[in-house]
Amino acid sequence: MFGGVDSDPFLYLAIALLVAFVVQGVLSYLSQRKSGSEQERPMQILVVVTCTNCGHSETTNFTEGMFVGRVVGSCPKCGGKLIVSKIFTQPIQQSLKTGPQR
Amino acid sequence: MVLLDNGVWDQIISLIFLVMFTLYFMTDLPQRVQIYRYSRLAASKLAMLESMVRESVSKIAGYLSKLGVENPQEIVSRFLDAYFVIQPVDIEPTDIIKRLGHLIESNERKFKNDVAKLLPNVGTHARNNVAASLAIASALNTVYKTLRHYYIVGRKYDNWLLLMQLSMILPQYLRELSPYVKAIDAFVKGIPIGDSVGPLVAFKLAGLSDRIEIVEDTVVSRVEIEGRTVYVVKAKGPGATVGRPGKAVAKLVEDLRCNVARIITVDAALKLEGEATGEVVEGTGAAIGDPGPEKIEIERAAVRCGVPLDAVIVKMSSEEAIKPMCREIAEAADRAYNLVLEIIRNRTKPGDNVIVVGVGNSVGVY
Repeated sequence: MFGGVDSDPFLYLAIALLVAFVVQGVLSYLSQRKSGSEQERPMQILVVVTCTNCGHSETTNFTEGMFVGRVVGSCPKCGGKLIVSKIFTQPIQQSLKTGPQR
Repeated sequence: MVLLDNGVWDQIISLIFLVMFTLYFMTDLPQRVQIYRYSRLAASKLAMLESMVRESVSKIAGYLSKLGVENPQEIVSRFLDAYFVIQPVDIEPTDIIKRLGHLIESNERKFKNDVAKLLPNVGTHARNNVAASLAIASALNTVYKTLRHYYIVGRKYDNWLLLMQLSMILPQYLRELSPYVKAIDAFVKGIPIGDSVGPLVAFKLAGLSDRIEIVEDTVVSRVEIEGRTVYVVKAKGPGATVGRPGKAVAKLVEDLRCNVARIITVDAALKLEGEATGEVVEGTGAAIGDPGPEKIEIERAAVRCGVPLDAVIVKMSSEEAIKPMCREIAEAADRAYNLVLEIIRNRTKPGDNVIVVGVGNSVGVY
């Protein structure tokens, strides 16, 4: 390679440094792209409605106009008032648990 | 294959190193390159911040046009720069809290009146949501303009130290400010945010009992809990407002003629990195994160009447405090509620009057 300079350690050092700089540059670019493209997980907004009389509760999806304390209907078990007791978000991957809760 | 002989290669490499050495040590080229790099990095992050401001403005404009407002974009832009508070003179500290409180109240009133003029046919809660969203966009815009100022100064005077600091701090600012854009969605839709945990605990105590507006934007409910009369104070919901809990407590204590056994404040508090979100902790003092005027009202009322102050806090990060409430915080509200009940049971006796204040933004909480 390069005719007659194969044994020159100075040249090897220069080439090694050049390669190291290029590799470092590429890695730094890739890591910047990765951190820049990190997206937050999609979230869903859930609403817990609870019966003020028997404590029966259900979880549903949020619709505009809902707020904590809003009366949304009557309890299917005892006929008491069903009110929104919690509104919160969670990652969309987690399964939506509906039905009675403790 | 022989391309060049050994001696020529030596000469070329020596020349390259000589040029590199001269450029590196004898000129300011490395600094110029650094300035260029830092400047480009800062500029790209500033552009992202600018797009966040634009996004927040367009979100509010979209909401306003849904409410039937004409020229919403122009109106939002007008609100971005129009409201600021000049700090009171602090080299003369006498009555500084009163002066600060007066300035904050005057500014808030002016802001709300202008929003009311803008939306005459919209209900109070929706109006409060618009006001909170505009306040967020205005805060974002102020941060953006301040950082842009430092960037331009850095470029103007070739101040590489300033540009370097900016390029290093801007990614952190971007991360901390991006939840503010999401918070606008929460305010517009009326979804509780992390900071609403205090009013949520207050709601758990008061339920659907009557709310009496004791001071502006602040309500009190009276409930009986195991023989104690509990006065639950919170901001008036479900619109976005933090109310005036300090003034409400001061008035309540005065109305009850100091016949109060305990004042319990519940609020969101910033966690340290490494602490768990939703950790509920109890302490002493007034748990309220205002600039001072509201907190001092609670402290003064408590000292005047010799009432012990209990603080219950729910830990969360600054991002979680402004973003729509996550499950961990919603569940922590149950634990905070149980802790408040425990304090009432263990530290007061039947027949006592107890004041519980749910401090925070009441967006999405009645």
